[in-house]
Amino acid sequence: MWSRVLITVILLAVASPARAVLTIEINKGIEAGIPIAVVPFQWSGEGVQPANLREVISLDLNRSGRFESLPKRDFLSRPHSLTEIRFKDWRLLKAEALVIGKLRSIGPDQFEVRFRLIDVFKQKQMVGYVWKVSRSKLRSIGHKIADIIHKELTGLRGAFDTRIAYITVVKTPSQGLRYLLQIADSDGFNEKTMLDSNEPILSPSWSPDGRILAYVSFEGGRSTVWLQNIKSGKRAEIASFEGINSAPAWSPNGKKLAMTLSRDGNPEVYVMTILGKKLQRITRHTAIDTEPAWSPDGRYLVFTSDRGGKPQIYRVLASGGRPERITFQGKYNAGASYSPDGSQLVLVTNQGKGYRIAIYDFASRSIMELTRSQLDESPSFAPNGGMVLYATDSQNRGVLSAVSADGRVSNLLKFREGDVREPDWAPYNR
Amino acid sequence: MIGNKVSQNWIEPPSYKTGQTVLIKVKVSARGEVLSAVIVRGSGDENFDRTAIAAVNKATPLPIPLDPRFFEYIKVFNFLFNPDSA
Repeated sequence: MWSRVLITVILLAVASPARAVLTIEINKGIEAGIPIAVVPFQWSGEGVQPANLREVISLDLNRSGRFESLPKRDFLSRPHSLTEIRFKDWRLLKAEALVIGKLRSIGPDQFEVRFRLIDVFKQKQMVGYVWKVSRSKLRSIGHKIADIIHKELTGLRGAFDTRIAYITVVKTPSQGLRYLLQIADSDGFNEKTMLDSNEPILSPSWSPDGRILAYVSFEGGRSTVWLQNIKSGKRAEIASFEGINSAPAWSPNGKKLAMTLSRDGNPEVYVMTILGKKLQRITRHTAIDTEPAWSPDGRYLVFTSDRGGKPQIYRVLASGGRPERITFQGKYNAGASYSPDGSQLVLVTNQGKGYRIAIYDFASRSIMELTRSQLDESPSFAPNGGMVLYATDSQNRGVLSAVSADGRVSNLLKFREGDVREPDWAPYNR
Repeated sequence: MIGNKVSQNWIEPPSYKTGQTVLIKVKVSARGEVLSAVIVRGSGDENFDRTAIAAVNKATPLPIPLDPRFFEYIKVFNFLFNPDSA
């Protein structure tokens, strides 16, 4: 190899003796997380620090698959300000970026967070921020910092400072099973219960503005689709027809809901206007048509149908028309929803090795499995398309897991108790 | 070889768009240590430029031949990051 490089050098030298500069071409890199050093924030105040910002940021970054937060035991120094940074320490660790900061108590339930992101090789600050917040907002600031780092170092928007909704089923000795509709931050912390019921709750779905949840509740013994305001907690029935009322999905403009109703005898996909409750039937088939989801431009609905004998994904104009079959690979494909850019679907597939989360790509018409387990369900994309949240089984308990959209990195979300099911990742607006 | 070591340290930017290239001028010591890496011609995407600079720096020391006769030729050279021709 060296002889070839040398020949190139000599040829260049002969061709232009004044500027003999060898050029080596780099065509390929590696797929790996960006190594980043997040230094523990300096805490000044009484008692223990009210939030471990380093941990919030590190776990967020690692979960995305786009970063590798370096272990703090390897750090040769722990700077908190620009002048304390010895760049050599971080070049040795091959950290591309450095995160430093301070957390300071500045009054009753008032904290100041200072954060800087530093390019180790340019030896320059990329961004710096200061926030003043109450204790309850500190974790959210950690997620915001992770989002800023994601944007600065990948060029793509992060989705850490977002929320998720899900159903938790808990066993109580006195009342039997209880069903909780809950929301939490994207890492499963800051859990809040929106509804507590003795009857099953299913299929939570965020409105595009992040203010309202649609879901199915069996309170009163039959299925009903409800809408509930996140802030006020107020709720109202939107669909309680004869038979099944299920699988609500918001149109991208927030004005309509697609859902599955059996009011005409068989489960079919319908679209309902939220104001005026005007109903339009979309599918007409003796098979089961269910689980509708909108394309981001609002033109199409995908849904699951067993009209071909086995459950597969079909697509139809949201205004109605003849459905076309989308998936052909594998004996089972169901529960699809679109990626934010509309180029892919995330779905549950069974290719003979169990129920797994997979991505269907419209351009290549191929299905790529993201997970390796047996009983995965209810996938939804993060609003930046970089990750997928889904429910799975861990030691006979329902848990939530997040996997990077390339399948490289997956992490279980931690919850205190119960079976956690049917997650939906909220849009950006909070 | 030099190119391989830089490739192994280059985390390709997800924001990359077809046609973008970065040209970087590198100065090395006789032991291959990267003394400086500066952008001669950027891609227009700051993030792509950053990943290229980081890759060259992380690849230090570069495996250059020990024979001092070669060093004159390669104490300054260029890296062209050009993912399209992969």
